[in-house]
Amino acid sequence: MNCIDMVKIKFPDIRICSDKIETDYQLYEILEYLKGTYELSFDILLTIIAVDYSDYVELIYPLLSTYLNERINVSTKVKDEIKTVSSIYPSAYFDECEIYDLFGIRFAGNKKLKRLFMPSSWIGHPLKKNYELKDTRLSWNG
Amino acid sequence: MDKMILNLGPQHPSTHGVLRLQVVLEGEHVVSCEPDIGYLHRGMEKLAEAKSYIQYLPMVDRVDYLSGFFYSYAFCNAVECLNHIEVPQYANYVRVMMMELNRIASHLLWLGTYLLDLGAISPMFYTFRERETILDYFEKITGQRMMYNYFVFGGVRHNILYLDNVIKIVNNILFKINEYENIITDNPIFLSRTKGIGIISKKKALDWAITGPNLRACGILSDYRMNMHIYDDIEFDIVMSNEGDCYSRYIVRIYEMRESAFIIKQCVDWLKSNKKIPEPSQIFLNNFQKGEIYSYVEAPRGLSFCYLNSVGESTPYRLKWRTGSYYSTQLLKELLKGCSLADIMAIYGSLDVVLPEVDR
Repeated sequence: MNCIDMVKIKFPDIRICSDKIETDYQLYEILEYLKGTYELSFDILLTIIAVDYSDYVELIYPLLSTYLNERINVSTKVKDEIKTVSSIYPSAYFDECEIYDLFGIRFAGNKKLKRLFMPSSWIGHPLKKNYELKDTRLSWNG
Repeated sequence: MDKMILNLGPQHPSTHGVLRLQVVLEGEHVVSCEPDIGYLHRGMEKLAEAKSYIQYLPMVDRVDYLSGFFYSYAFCNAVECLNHIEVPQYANYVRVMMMELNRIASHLLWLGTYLLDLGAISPMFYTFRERETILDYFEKITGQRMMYNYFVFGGVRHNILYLDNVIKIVNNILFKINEYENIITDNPIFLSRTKGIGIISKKKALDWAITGPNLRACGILSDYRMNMHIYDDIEFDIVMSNEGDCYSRYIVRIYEMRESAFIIKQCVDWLKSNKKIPEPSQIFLNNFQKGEIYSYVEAPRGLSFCYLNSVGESTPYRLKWRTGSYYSTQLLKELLKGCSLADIMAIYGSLDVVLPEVDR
């Protein structure tokens, strides 16, 4: 039985789209299950990918299991706020700061959310699709 | 005792880039450390959305200028998988050979600068001397010493390879690695600076998403080359060490260079015994497929990947880089707690962080 089937039995509400598990509200529980179950032990959260689809942002969590040498992707849709996963995977802290900085998504429970790349006084979130590139603060726009 | 806040960087010579560490000290000991990154942020991911695939191709070498081939490969592989472009086996072997040479060059630079951070000047000249031979070879093949732009969609740009030179370079480096080991490995000063310093436990390494040689030095078997299809017919060992301290990270990198040399020799043998492919022509992409691709590669600084999301336009809809150094930098927050001020650079150097890769 492969990993995705095991998750499907435990969480029947999820959708499976090629190699990606899509969930609406059970993200935290699924990640907890994937890391905590001994036969799976997805112990590394590689990164968090955010993709802006104008009316919502999709967050993808690619996980790696060093025990099984397998990868799995869990994704969820978010409007502007989602619960942090840094209590399960501490490495998520930088990723969440980055997504807050570039996409404006807030992570509830992540107390030290800050802008990681842009200056702290920056207005706007550069990787949003509606971000204006003709910003006068950028040197090449004068 | 009063606490003192010390600001390391952003222009500290030992950070090899622009990293700022805000360190709180109690006497000589570190109480907490807050890494501050973003000084080298070039907006690689935003640029990808504005440029076409071909226009973005020369950019990807700049993600990490010390191991450009790996990122080139990740991006080319993503585009090839997305558009179902078949790569000839000959080109795959050329790619592996180039990547492994690049890995040796990158590790050599790390070795030299790490010893420099610890106060030994001469090893840097020795390692740069050998790295120079590899860079000269790259210049001969690709025309560039660091930003190669050599891999193209569907293969490599040229197939004039001077394979005899490669054998000469590799044999020379294998010989010189023994010399480095004679100088460094049993050196009492080096041992006292690195043994038992900056220990990363298995749990900590996994929690903080450390990959690559740093993870293997903690005794965890994880090498993405096992899963990459271009390494299918190539034999190699995965180097591991158990202690997780600075010294074991050094040992892992030294032995990894030997393994890379072994891989390169296999590639040269294969390339010599097989017929050259005709000069590859640039593949023009007309019909862009829709889809999401994760293209993984085992870079010298950890598992890296390129996430490519296409909606069928001539530019990527979203492109994301996962890099190893980013997570090594984050780990400093945990790792430096309780160590002494003099050990900060010994620990930081051993993680092999390259700042352009962190900030992208």
